[in-house]
Amino acid sequence: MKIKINNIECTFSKGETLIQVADRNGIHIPRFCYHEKLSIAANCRMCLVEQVGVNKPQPACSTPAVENQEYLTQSNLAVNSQKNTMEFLLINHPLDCPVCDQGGMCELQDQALMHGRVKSRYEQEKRVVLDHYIGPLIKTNMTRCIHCTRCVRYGEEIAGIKEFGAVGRGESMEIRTYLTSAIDSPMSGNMIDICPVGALNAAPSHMRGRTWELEEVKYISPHDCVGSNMNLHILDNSIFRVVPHENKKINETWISDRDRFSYEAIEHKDRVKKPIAKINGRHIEVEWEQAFEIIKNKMADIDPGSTAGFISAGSTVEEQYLFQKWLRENNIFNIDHRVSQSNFDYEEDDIFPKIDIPIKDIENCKSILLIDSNVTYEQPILSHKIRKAFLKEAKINSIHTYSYKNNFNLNNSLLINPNNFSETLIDIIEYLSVITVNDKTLKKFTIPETIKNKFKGLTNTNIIEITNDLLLKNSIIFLGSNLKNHPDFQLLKILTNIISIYTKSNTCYLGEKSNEAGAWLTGCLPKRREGFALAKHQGFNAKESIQRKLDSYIIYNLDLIDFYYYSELKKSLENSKFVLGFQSFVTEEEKTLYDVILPLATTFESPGTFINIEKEWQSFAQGCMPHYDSKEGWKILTKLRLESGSQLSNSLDYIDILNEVDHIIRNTESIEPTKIENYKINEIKSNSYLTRTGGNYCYFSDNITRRSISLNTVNKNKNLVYVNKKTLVENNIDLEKNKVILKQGDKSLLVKLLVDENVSDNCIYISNSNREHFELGKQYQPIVIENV
Amino acid sequence: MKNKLSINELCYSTLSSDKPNSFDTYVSQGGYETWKKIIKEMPDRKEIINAVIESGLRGRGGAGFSTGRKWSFINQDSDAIKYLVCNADESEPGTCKDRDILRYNPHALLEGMLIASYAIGAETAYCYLRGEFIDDVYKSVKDALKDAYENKLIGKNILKTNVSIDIHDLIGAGAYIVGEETAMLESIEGKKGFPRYKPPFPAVKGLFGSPTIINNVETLASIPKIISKGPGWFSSFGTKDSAGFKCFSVSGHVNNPGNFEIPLGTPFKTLLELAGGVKDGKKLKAVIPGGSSVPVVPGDIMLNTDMDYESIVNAGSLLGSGAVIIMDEDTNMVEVIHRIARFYYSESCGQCTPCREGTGWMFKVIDKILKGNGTLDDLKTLESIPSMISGSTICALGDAAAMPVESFIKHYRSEFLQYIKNQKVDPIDTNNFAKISDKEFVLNRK
Amino acid sequence: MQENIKYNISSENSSKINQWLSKFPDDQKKPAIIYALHLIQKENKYIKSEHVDAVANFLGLKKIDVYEVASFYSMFETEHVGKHTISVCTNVSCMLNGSDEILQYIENKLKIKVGESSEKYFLKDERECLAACCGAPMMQVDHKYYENLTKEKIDLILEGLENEK
Ligand SMILES: Cc1cc2nc3c(=O)[nH]c(=O)nc-3n(C[C@H](O)[C@H](O)[C@H](O)COP(=O)(O)O)c2cc1C
Ligand code: SF4
Ligand code: FES
Repeated sequence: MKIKINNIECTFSKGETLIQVADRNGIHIPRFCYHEKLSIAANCRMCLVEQVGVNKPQPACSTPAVENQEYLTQSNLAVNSQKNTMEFLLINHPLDCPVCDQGGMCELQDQALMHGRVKSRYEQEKRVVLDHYIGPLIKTNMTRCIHCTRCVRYGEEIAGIKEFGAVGRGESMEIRTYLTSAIDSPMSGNMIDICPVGALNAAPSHMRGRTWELEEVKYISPHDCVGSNMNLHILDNSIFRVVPHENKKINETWISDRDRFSYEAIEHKDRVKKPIAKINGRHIEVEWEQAFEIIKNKMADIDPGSTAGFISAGSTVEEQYLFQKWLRENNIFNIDHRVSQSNFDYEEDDIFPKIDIPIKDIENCKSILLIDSNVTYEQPILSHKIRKAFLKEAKINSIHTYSYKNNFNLNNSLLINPNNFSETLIDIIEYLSVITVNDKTLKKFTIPETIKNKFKGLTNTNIIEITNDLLLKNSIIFLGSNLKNHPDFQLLKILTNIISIYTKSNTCYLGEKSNEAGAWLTGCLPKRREGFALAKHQGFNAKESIQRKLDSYIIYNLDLIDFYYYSELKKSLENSKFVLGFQSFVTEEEKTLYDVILPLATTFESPGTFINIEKEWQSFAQGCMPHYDSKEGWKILTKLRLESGSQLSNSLDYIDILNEVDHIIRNTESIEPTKIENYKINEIKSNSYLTRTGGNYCYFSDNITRRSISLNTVNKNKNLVYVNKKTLVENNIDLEKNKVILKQGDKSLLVKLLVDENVSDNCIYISNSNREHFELGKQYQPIVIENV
Repeated sequence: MKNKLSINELCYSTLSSDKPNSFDTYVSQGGYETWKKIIKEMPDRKEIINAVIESGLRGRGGAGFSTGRKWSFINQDSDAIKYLVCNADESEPGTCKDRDILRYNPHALLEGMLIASYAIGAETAYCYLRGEFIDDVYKSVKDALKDAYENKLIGKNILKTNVSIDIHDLIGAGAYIVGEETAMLESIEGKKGFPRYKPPFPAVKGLFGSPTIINNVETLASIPKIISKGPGWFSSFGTKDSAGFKCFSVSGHVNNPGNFEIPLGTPFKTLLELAGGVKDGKKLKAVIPGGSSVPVVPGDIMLNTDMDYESIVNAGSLLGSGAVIIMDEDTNMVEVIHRIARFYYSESCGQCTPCREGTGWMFKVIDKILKGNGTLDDLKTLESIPSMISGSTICALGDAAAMPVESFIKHYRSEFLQYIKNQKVDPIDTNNFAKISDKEFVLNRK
Repeated sequence: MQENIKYNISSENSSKINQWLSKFPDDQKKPAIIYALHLIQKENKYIKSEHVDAVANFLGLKKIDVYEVASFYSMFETEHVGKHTISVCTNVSCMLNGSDEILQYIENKLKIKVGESSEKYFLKDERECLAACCGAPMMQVDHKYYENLTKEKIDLILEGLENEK
């Protein structure tokens, strides 16, 4: 079908609006309210164009193209209408461009230049709108708002949490939240970008720089496992702000708040500014040469067999590769990145974080099962895809220990005790083996008797419905990263895999950090080398290395609270002979445990590569030069390799390292586990205890987010503990008081309590959002609750 | 109760009785016979729609669109749920005709709604009353519904057939804009009354996303008799393009204000006489013939105009909702437009730019002029705003706000200029009022 | 998270709201917002934030959805108002018939300006036409229509309100 716009013939398909056709053909039509990702509002009236033969101007954003019609975007009628709208929009606009963050990238400013009148005829008083606090991330300046409602629609449609509304009517209509409630959506920052004017601004950078002074660098999210693309805006070698970089396959035009605001950490007081060495019992700042000297001497001294190296799954591929290479060259084989994992049974069978289908296809799934994943807050971009599937009427189910707040609705929500994860999955498998008996194409699994006695029978209709939904074509199972802490984690992975084989579903094992897949592929593992090659010298895994109290430890880009065996690790470090840290940040207390700390550039300050769960390699350039005296990890590690006498090629460029890694591991296949015969269930200690649940709090998930001030002031309730009423009553807790004492092992903590029916029975939900919570102990462990 | 001449043939037919709103009164006048006949004979829907098209009935809510044609836009073959909505939001300033139907002849409305629902294939109909009717008007409708349900004329399996139609009463909460049909749908859905952009039209995608027809109270209350007496009977009244009867609310400076249901095409003079003529024997200055949103017409033109759609258009205005506001020779036109502009300013929903910003701007300029602070530039600005709003808004409220301002300046420019000259207008002799040109005016101001 | 809802919708009103919901398709909850707010306003004279919370909670909606509605419709008061609401129509037809003097008379008599409240009276700034133009000048007192007003008539009406317990 064809239409003519400005005498240019354009083809279109049924249902397309004029603006879509024009955009596709490079014909510019001004707009404010229209946004290709949002529903049509047609309220700004900026896009009025002429339809030949019709005397009223037509809004291009909401008018469907009609076969053989002619449209004009530059005729008198069109131009006058646009001019008029511009004049109306400006009468109540403050025109304070010189002090507005949006100045220089403002759609209103641009269009006023093109379509506005030269002089304002409006002399009456302008509307002034009071600003209400809506949280630490977005600073509003609502007097500038032009009521396009993009932000309101964004909340309803994309974020899935309607927080903004248009309150009041007529000229006094205001865009605001209810009363002064703060924005809660983990994707709220995108409203700053879609607001065409300077009404919504990024709070940390508010009024601190002008658009034209900024330099833009493409960057990959250092937090999510999908690898959101973003742009860093750099001002004077500092990150001024972060905005999305469109990637149709991954994050579209959005990023999460965590990715947008975490850069604030760069300047945190915990930042390691210079190398630190423990000299005569005191930690003092030293020069790099001196630090290298100490390391060299110590490394010559230590027993490599009694040394372990841990690296973050959030470090770049290059760093991870060099790290294990350096260690193995020095005969240190106890290498691991799985520091948050509690159980390492059957680690040979491990499956690494992955997704079986392209991320962009999640939205086409017909059925989605979430296993203990707080996906909306931990992986907002994936959650957005799930939400899209939900809007296309996919069936979404969840099995969890806490009814997480999602931005989609659940079909079936099964709240269980963490002790019952394996048995719930076994129930599903048993049910599947019954209903698929006649399918000869399926490989059959027999559940070993040791496990089978857990089987409860097929009485739970929830389980039956969840399973039936999985049998729908095009289904996917998400295994939450929370479960890493679970004693049955390995078994749960295997069981999930079996379910996926029976139901022909895809699976996705969510990673906690940005580059967990990279850490696997580069061989940051005790038993496998880069590219999954079986290691000749098999080392200890993280748990063993910690529990065996080795002589020396090397810790790369990790806070100690990143470790599941946090308190054991602290003891091991205290008793060891040598502890070396490569850290961007260290707390005063943790500092005392190290012998040497090298100041590591954050990933913002270094080039690098992340591999996402889709196994997509994404490289990024250096955002800004390393702050203080810190250095890029790849440089430090290369220097150390040279120092320890490794033979390296002449050139020592970053690109060469990337090429080398790429060459070795690009085509690695993951290993698939098959056998379950030997598996046993690891009970969480005793049933008479309550169990602690609650995983990582999304703004406390790694060493960067923990130090982003704005993010950590978002949620006022994050330091509470949640328990349901029944559990409280059964434990004789006085409901009148809002404080309780929690005890884990020999530790205890006084906390504020919130009664919450979203927690399953006999559980205490604590999100790990505070150092005290880590001090108390870990999740999936017995816990005691007592009155104050 | 005002019981005027025997002219009230259709919607006001029960007015002659003591208990106009009772079920018995309505039935004694042959009420619900049409509906019972339809239920019994189950005619093809198209037959009813054709009859309504043939009758020439045009929507009485303001736009005057052929009611039968509107019904025919519903896709008869689709299985989708369909809705009928009765627009009882009557809030166009000057209009109070629907309130009297709701109070005094609610059963005619209900029967009309039943027939319309049948014709468009709706099983659920809503009657949305403006919030301010929450007391006695709402009660009258609820009582009528109760009677009709008790007599099994509404509900499931009406009179033991397999026709089921429910009618639900709904109540608003004060917003002129909700009278706009798509804003009404939003309001029924429990949202702010923001009009929707069209297309899609409600007949395709309306209430809860389903095909929906919205009609005015008077339109629907006219249906039973049109069907029972036949389209020919109806079209024998009125003119060629303006068939049948229309209720006119005559208010303002008249001796005997009230609602009069008369054949369309009746001379304005006759209507004015029915309303007792201009109050206190004064001279007629101006008339707003169709509610405050239509252009004002100078009295002398009105006196030679008939009350039908075409004649009023020829006189430079619109028939609108049939609210005839009479202004006598002493009327201060700047004050009147000030009041009208204030109304649209406070009732603009705020959704789209030209109306949200333009209504406020117009009011503020008029206010400035009325307070004696206006300049000639202000008047020029004011003159230009209406055409900037008209035709570019989502709904017709923009036009409704623009037309009066435009017409008041057009016909009574000199009064604005008087204000600008800082003198209150001397209203006694507008005809001999010196025509001050802008040029002279500037000279006068030094 | 458990919400502390400070206001309890009475069981009578709850069942009324549920009945109202039966007029609409099953999955539709918003259509009861306006009605619920009417019921609550009738009991409490004006709508406070806890009422918005309660309605949102009862219907399972976002508070902002309820608040948008409460702030849009002019019949909903969100600030403290007197016991009786008096709305004098001052739109065109009424204005032509002297509604401004009527309003002023009432202002003087009640000693409040339009838009203001005393303990007993709320003189609403009524911008809309109340659809009784042929009975101009007119007013509504607690939604009851009083038409063809004169000063004497107003005296009588207000006296009636004064005398009621
Ligand atoms: C701003 C505005 C206000 C309106 N108010 C009313 C009203 O109060 N009552 C009414 O019946 N129609 C009103 N209408 C007209 C309706 O939109 C619609 O045309 C009418 O209900 C259709 O019914 P009809 O075809 O029977 O006239 C209004 C339209 C606009 C644009
Ligand atoms: S705040 Fe920005 S995005 Fe939201 S309505 Fe106003 S101008 Fe539009
Ligand atoms: S872009 Fe079309 S009306 Fe706003």
